[in-house]
Formats: sequence, C-alpha cells, structure tokens
Amino acid sequence: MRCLESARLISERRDHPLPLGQRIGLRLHLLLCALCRAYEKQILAVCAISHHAGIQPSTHAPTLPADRRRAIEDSLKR
Amino acid sequence: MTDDINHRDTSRWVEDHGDILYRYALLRVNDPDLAGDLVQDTFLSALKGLEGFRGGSTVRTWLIGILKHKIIDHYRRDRSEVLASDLPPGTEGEDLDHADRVSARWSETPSQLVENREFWAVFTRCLSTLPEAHRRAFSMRELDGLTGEEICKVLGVTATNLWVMLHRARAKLRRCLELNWFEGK
Repeated sequence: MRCLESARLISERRDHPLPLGQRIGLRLHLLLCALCRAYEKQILAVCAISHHAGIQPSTHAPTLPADRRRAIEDSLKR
Repeated sequence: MTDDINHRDTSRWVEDHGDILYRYALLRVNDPDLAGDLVQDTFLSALKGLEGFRGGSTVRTWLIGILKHKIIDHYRRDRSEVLASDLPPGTEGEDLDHADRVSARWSETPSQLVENREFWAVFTRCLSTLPEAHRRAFSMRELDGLTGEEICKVLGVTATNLWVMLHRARAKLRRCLELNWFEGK
C-alpha cells in the first residue's frame, strides 16, 4: 500500500467500515510508516477541533451585527 | 428551569440567543448576510411555532434545532449550482502532503485551540478555502455529526463521491492548519 492510498483510507474509515483486506493493509502500512501515523494523528485532531467548534463556536467569532439585531427585534414585535 | 419559565418572553430572545445562533450559522454558511437571514428566519419560525414548544429542551437548544434545519434546507435548495464544479472526478494524480515532523502544538486540546483568537481566525479562514460542496459535506459530517446517508440525500451525491469529498476536505484543512498554525507559528 502506498501512502496516498493509506491517507484515503484513514479518512474513509471515519465514514464507513473498510473491507477486511483494506483494514489489514492499512494496519500494516501504519505499523511501518511513521509519516502516515503522524498524518492520521493530525486528521483526527482536525476532526476533533471541528467537532468542538461545531458544538461551541469560539467566543471570538463575530457577533450578530447591530443593524440586523434591531431588524430582528422589530420583526418579532410585529 | 428559568429558561423554561421565560421561553415565552420573546423580547429577550435576540439578546439571549442572537449571537450564539449567528456564530452557529456563520461557521456553516460562511456568508454574514446569509447567516443573518437564517437567524432572522429562525426567530420568526420559532415565534410562529411557540405554542408547539413543550419545554422539553432549553429555548436555545430548540432554536438551534430550527436553525440547523434552515441551514440544511439552504444546502438542499441551491445544491445544483454548487455541486456542478465541485464533484470529484477521481483520485488520480493527487498529491499527499505528509508532514516530515509533527509539532507538539497538534496535541493542544480542541477547547484550548477554539478559544484562541488567532487560531480561530486561521481555522475559519482555512475552512473558507474549501470548495463549497466539500465545505458543506465536511460541515455536516464533522461539525454536526450527520451520517453519510443523510449527507448524500442533502447534497444529492453518491456515497463514493461523498467519501472523496470528505477525504479532500480533511486533507486540505489539515494542510492549511499545518502551514498557517501548527508549523507556521
């Protein structure tokens, strides 16, 4: 298995169960390839950060603009 | 409990929940005007459906649920123009950008990173560089935890196409964060 395929399978196994042959191939490749192990760690970190951001966006993210806030408040009063 | 008692006091809705809803929408649609429209629609729908709110969840959870449906409806409505240019033709000729070392910064916790102002700016900028269909697929899968089957229905793509889009989105986001944050600091 080449690193390119390993990277694809590292991603795909988050989305669906891999066939047995691919699971074994990926496991063997990861045992032998430190760079792919690092890549997998980083992909998992990206997904964990994204999941956290999805549930609780940063308090540094922009807030509802004042004019929009007023427009919504007005529309709720009608 | 207080939230439950006060849910009919709609005069405080925008003050109490407006920013949270806006941030939620903006992260998913990457367009301030559209995010504002979706938040406005959410409040108006909630007002209309107020009698149906049983108080089984907090007002905020209820409002976020309405907003989530509005965002998915938006994705579904204009999917054809977005997808035409972003559907993956195949994986041939792709390059893999391996890191040759892994910065210790990758071990920081998600909550530490998300609450770091500079990281948040980099993260949202990196998300915005993804092709629109890939960003939507990634958002539904990783931000919201939808299943592949649910996402395929919204985007109108096959499972194989979805997996390729998600792989490319994850790989591109990883590379962007590595260059602009983890190794670039």
